[in-house]
Amino acid sequence: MELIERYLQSVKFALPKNQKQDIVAELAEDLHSQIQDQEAALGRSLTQEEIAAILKKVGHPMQVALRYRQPRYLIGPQVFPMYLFVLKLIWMCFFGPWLAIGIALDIFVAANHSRHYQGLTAILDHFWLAAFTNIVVVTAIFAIIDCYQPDGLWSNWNPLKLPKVRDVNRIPLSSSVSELAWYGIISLWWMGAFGFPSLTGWHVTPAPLISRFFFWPLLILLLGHALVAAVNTFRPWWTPRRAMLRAALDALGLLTIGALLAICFTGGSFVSVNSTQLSSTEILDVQKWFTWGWVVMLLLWVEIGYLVGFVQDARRATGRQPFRVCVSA
Amino acid sequence: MANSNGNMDLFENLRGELRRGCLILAVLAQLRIERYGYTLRKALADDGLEIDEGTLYPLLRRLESQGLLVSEWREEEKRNKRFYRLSREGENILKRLLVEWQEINASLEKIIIKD
Repeated sequence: MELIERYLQSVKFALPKNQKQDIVAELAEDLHSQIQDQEAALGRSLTQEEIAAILKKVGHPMQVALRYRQPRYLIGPQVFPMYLFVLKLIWMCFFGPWLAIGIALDIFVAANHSRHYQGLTAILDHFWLAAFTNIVVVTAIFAIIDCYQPDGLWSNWNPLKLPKVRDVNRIPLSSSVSELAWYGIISLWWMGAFGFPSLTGWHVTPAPLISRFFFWPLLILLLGHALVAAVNTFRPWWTPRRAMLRAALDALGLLTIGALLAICFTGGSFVSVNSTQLSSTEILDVQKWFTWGWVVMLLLWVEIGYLVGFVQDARRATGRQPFRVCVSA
Repeated sequence: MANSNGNMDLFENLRGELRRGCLILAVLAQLRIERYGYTLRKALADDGLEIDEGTLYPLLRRLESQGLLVSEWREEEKRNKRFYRLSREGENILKRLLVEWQEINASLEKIIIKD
């Protein structure tokens, strides 16, 4: 019977503290009754293996013990969807852009050989710490909400106050205004209003190939998008004509940026760098870094954006509903 | 093979859900007569409703904490055993549950025969 004692000891370990003795005594009685019945049927004592088989059938001690505990969770099913939504929102609006800007900054500063810059590692160190703290704080807040749900939280609601069904053809004002600001600023920059980002002693300009062949296509693309965004701000509904115009711009964007990517992948550069502080090899390195920085951070992202936008706008232009996964595109 | 295992898991889950409520009813009904855990398991098994220790004892504790059962430790055949029986409240609840069960059963039979 030593095996039974060993088994019960293992079960006892994970049992609720105030019920340990009681549960173990009851389980012991059941096991002894089972053994007694089998011994009576066989007319002999059970072997260790036969007792082990009974215990095996009862289940792993931890599994048996856990059945005596109430299911526990930090955030219950009623609050969990809102918890997940808040986490996604924070990541999309805060940590995603932080990471993107961090990586872009890293590429940019690496290209400029700054001695004061600590590199991507420093950014990521802060990033992981902030991300971890964020998850912990949000989880703690929702755990408290879950624990102290006020009475009537789920019964005092009015069906008439539910949000209206989202119209996929309505253009959110925030989206139009942010697009207008974005394309407006980039258009002005492309026309030379702000100059190319550079450091003291450096002169960075678009490479001759870019200025010659891409100035007008990119300007038309940027101004076209700014114009559509401006119209969308005041007339926030997609019409087939406007969707068609934007689909055409998306197609132009796809082709233009595809051509820019082709230049990069065939060894060309997007920028010309002049500096008295750098050797010609270093200048080539910087040009290469600038070019790949743009490719990684902007062009691949924009290319995918144009592709998604083209599909969605083409559907709107032909009177079909855009796919719901990317309704904002 | 994976699909077959998936179907087995799904079946076991659904079977578990189907049995859960029925087991409560069966346990309450059996405990109109006082029994201890092992004899209760045997009585249920004799009537075709097998239930393992890991399911029965936590269920008995829960029903007792809800006030539907009362229990006491007593010595029988030189061993201490915990005897359970229905409380007054348990009897009332059982009556109402049986009515509910019969209604559900009648509805299900109609639905199944229709199909």
